[in-house]
Amino acid sequence: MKQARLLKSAVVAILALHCAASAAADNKPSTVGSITHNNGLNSNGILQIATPTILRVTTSKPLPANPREALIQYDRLIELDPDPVILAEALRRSADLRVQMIDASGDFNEVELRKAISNYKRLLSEIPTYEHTDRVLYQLARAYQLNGDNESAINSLKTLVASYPDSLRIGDAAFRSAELLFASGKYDQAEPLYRAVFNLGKDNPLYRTGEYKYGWSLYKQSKYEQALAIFIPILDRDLPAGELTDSSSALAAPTVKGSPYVAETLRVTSLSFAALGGGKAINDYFAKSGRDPRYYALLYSDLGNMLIDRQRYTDAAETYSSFIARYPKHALAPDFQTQVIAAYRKGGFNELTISAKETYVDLYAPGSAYWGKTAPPAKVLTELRQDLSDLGSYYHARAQKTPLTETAARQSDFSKAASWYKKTIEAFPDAPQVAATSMLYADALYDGGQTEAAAQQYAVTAYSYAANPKAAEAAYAGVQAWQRLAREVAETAQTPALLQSIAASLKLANTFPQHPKLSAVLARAANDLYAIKDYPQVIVVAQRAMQKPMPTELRRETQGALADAYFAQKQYPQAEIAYTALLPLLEATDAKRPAANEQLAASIYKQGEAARDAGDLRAAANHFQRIARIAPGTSIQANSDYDAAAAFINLQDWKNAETTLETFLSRYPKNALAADADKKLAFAYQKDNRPLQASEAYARIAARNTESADTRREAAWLAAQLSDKANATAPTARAYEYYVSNFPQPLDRAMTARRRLADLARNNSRDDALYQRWLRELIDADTTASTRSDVSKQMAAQANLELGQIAAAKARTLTLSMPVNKSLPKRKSATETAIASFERAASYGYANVTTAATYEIGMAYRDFGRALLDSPRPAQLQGDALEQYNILLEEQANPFEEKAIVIHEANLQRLRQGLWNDSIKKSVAALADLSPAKYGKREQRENSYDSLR
Amino acid sequence: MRMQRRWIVASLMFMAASGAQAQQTGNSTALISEALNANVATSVANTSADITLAQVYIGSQVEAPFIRDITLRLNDSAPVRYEFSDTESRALQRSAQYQLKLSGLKEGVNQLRADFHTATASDKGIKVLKQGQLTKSFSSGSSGVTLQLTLSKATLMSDAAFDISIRESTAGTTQNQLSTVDFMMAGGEYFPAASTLIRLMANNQDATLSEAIQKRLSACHAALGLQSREPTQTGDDLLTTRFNQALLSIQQNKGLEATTELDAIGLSEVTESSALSLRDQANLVLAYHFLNQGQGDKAISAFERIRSPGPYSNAGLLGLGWALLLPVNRDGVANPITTTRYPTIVTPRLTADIVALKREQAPRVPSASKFQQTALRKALVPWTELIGRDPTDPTVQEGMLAIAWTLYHFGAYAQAQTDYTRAADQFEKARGWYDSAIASVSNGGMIAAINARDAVDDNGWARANASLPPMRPRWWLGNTPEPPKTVADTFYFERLLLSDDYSEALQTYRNLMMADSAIKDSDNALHSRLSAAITAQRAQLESIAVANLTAQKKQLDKYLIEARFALATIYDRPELASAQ
Repeated sequence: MKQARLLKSAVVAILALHCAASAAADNKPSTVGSITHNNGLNSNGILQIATPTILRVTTSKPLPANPREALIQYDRLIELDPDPVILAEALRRSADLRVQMIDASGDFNEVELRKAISNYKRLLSEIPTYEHTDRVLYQLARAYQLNGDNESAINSLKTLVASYPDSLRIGDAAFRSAELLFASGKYDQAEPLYRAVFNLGKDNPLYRTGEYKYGWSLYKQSKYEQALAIFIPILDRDLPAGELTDSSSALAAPTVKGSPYVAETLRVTSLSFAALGGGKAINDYFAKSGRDPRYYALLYSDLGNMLIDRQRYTDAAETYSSFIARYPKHALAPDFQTQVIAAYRKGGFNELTISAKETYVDLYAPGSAYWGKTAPPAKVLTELRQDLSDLGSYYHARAQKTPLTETAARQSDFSKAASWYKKTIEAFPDAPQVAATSMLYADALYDGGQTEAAAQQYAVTAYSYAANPKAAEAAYAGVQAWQRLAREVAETAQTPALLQSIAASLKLANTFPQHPKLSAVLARAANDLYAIKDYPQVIVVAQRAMQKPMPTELRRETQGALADAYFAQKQYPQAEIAYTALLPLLEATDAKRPAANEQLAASIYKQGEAARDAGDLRAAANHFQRIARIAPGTSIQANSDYDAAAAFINLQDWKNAETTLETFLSRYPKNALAADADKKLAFAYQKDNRPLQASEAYARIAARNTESADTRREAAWLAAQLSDKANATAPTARAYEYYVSNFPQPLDRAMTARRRLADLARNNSRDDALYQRWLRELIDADTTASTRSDVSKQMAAQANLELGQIAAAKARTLTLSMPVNKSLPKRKSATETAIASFERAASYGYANVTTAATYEIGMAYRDFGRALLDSPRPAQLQGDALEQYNILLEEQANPFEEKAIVIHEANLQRLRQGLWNDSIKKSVAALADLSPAKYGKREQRENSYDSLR
Repeated sequence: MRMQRRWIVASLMFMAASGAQAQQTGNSTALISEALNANVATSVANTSADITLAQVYIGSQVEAPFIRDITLRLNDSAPVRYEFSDTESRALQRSAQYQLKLSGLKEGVNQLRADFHTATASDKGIKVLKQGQLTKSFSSGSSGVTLQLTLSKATLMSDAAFDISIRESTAGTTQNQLSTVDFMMAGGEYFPAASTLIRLMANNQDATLSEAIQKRLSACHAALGLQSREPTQTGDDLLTTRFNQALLSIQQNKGLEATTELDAIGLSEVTESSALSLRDQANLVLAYHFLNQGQGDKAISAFERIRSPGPYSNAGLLGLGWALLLPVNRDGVANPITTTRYPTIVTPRLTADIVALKREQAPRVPSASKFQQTALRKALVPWTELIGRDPTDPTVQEGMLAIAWTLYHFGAYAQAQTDYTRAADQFEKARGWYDSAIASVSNGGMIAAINARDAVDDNGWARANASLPPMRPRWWLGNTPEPPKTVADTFYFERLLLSDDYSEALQTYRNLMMADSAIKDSDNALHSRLSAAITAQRAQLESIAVANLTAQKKQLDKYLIEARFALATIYDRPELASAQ
């Protein structure tokens, strides 16, 4: 290589020499031609000379684009003030490149962008004739847009559209400005620009997009009908041929798949219709246009779907409904109604959902106008089945939720539920869940108040469907239904209902011996049997029921029924056993416990009665007495105790009678029989010779104001007398006092009582004051009595007498003392009082009294006289004075002696009247004392006195 | 058609630029006239003779080589050197004489030594420099010495050598003085020339010389603006007339006539520099005419006849390249290179053409046929030669673009990109130069340089080239960038001189300067008025320079714009850019 290079150099050197030599030789001037020929040509005639490197043309691929380098060149040449053509091109391209670079890289370079914008603007302002001004405007808009200045971008594009109607970019510009306006929400301004694109026609590449966005701009301005006028033709054109019902398959069609707008157009069409009012708007639109597009079903479907997506469920449903309204016979109508249902359901509009389902059933049930004689397809049947089921469930649930107070609403819903269940069963009698439906049907009937129907339906449910897992439950429910029916119906109809219930119960018992509610059912049946008074059956069923373990309460009830049945059957010993068994089942607080207890007591009592009726008083008493022991506190206990006492009294078993009665009275002081019991007790005491106890008993009777006056009076009298008999002074006195104060009539017995009281005070109590009080009472009672009797008068007389005697005695105690003139009046007054009493006594006219009184008067006078005589003599009186005084005294006392004698004599005179008594005798004796002369030494044993004859 | 007309106008302008058409302001003219009169009077008064100075007249035979420079040394005195400009060299050949004075002359034997370089001025422009030497002893008396050195032509046996004639006088003959005037005029020093002539006219007793004096004086007056130029009728002028007629024919759409005439001029055997130049120009116009007519073959032959180097060689090389690329519908070439773009020198249309290409259509990448490839390679040869030249030359600039453009259109994208980039870089650099130059001109740099160089009297070359030092050959290739001032001082002047406005303004300026220089010591009033005029002229000169440079820069900008636009086009490929 090196050699070769050397050689080459040598050759060049030689050549150079040669050239110079030849030039000198021919001496021709050097010309353009000569130097050209001598350079770079292949041959000089002697040596082959290689083309100099600089002259080699080496083709290469175009250099890779280098926008940055290009920009540098553009920028620098712009600075050089090039001619307008170049300047325009450089400004434009440099700006283009900047925009492209920013656009492509995504790196926002504001400086570059501003430069681009500035270049464009400079180009526009400096070179208005530039032939690509439209492009510049277009690019400028792009740059503005990149710079975020959409308004300027829009203005630029608008200028382009307005000034260069023939520009290739007019569509693009209009479209882009429209896009920008659209994006900034200026739909009204975007609209004409989109329209401009649209008007450019189908050959414009932006036609489709422009058309689509034109519609959108209208839509955004709420010009829905105008928008539809754009969208519908798009769909007409772009959707696959043939009738379309489903958007997803329509959009999946190969002709549509590539089109970005069909789906969106469909969507915005839906939006437009939605804005115009949904499905009805579609109907109106079609009606107005007079032409239903081939994809009408799809429109409804899509609109509906869209509304659902927007959670406008009712609107969606309305849309689906609108389809049905317009195309009621359409094959898809049931599907649309299904959609209606789904829409409402999604929206949570239960009632609307239900209503829609009702509509579905109404419209598309087999045999409906829609199907005619055609059998509905399985899909519809499935839907129907579901709807029917849902309808039943819905109303059922709603009814259950309704407050019990809203009876009418509840009833109505239950009845609707029942009706739907019924329809379900009728429509799908062979459905696997028919038994369940039947059960629900029965439930709805039951809850809806159609109790009898419910009961029957329960029976159907329980016994008509093979292998029904709820059969037992239904059977039980049936029983319950009958039960309720029995409660509901008028009393007259109750029995049949109960009979039904019982029958159902027994059928249940027989069919489902292992039924968990068996015992309860039977128990209930037992009760019902009891209610219809089929007591023997009660006994049978109750016993059967209680063979099974059962809850206490139920057992309680059943046991109660059993007991009651026995009782009703008058099987009192069995009843007693049953009730006795019942009682432990009852809580202490159980309200039924007293009743049960009563029944128990009654059972025993009835046994007592039976024994009594049979004459076995002892046994009867025993039964009666058991009640207090076995069923204490029962209402009958008092009676039974009483009856026991009565039995004892009849048996003259006073002691048992007393005990029984005492117990009775202590237990039941307020008992109505207490009074009788008391009487009986009093009687028993009396009979048992217990006067005091008897007296007390009678006293109680007397005090009882519930007794008749007579009874009380007699009782009071008996009480006083018995007490008197028992020598119980104080009680006796109280008894008589009670008697006297409460029963002043009849007068005589009251007088007797007073007399007795006076006596008791005098004799037993030795209470003079009391004694005198009673004496005065005797006198007053007689005096004030309306009808005085002999007895009363006599007693009054006697009382006066005795009062007189007391006064006389008192007067005697008043010995005269000095000065006499002071003591004497007291004595005198006392004596006069006594004499007054004696005189009153005597005034009654009863001989013995009169005589006695007379005697006493006499004695009173005598005593007075003697008192005078015995009065102390004044101490200063001596001798004659004394004698004088004595004489005076005697003079003074002597009349009294005389008066006494007269009086005794008067008394003695009563011999003539045939009277002879102690008083007369004592008068005689007195006379003897007073006038011994006259009457002394007289044989007192003489039977007759002259003076008396 | 329009293009053609433009061409004619451009050519006429070129022609006008070849002569110095004085268009001075009345004020300047009056001042110069006044100064001239004053100077003549003063000079007469100051005439004196110094016998210690040897008068030396250096001349040349017509067929002798150019004298490039000469260094003279009398005895032991300091050597005196003078470098001749091309114009001066040629003037010497046409009987002009360069006058100088050597000090150190002594009575008795004097020793003169001359070292010089000569150059063969051939049409090819290649100057073969030869060194010569002369040693001459001579004796001097009291009347002084006048030496006349005349270069003889070289022979096969010997190189060119000076013949020396010695005359005992402190002054040369009238003929000598006329020859000196010729030299001055060749150097543009019309004011001293006129002054000298007026004095000669006054002192002249030789009636045979009167006409010669008058003729020269008229020329000087014309140059100074004191009178209008007299029409001349030389051989050159005949050719010029024919050329202008041909241009007129083109303008009148007489294509055949024009091309025939131009072809004749282009093929004419001439030797005179101006004639050669005119011949080149004729060939150029003819070639571009063919090029525009799509007649590549004919264009090529015309282009090839243009001398290179030569004033039209760059344009020729550029045009040749296009002509070589021009589709030639022969040999069944079915796919000719089609482009609406044909370059022009004065008003390039490259840019517009490129823009005319539809942007939507990415540049085609034709699979160039073998023929096309050959054509391309051929075209690249002149262009490659061209772009090595002065980068401030618009044709060179366009050449750079042409290469790149062509490569691009033939699918040599990488090369095109490289070339465009290189062109753009080069243009940018040149812009810098222009900026510096404009700044320098505005700051008085240009005037300062002109003044400084005019003060130099040992370098005709410098004076001839607007008193500026010669540019370093291929200065633009320097690895180390020259200081801007230096570059600014050097690169633009030559092209400025191509502008009539500038040349005239410069001439006026120099006339005023020389007038002022001549009278400033004797006439203060006039001096101050001249100074004011000089200031005004200077401002005008600078203004013209700036406008011219700005226009050049503007032209350059167009190419730069095109380069950048092309580069941008290469890089900017929308269909790829978006993928990035």
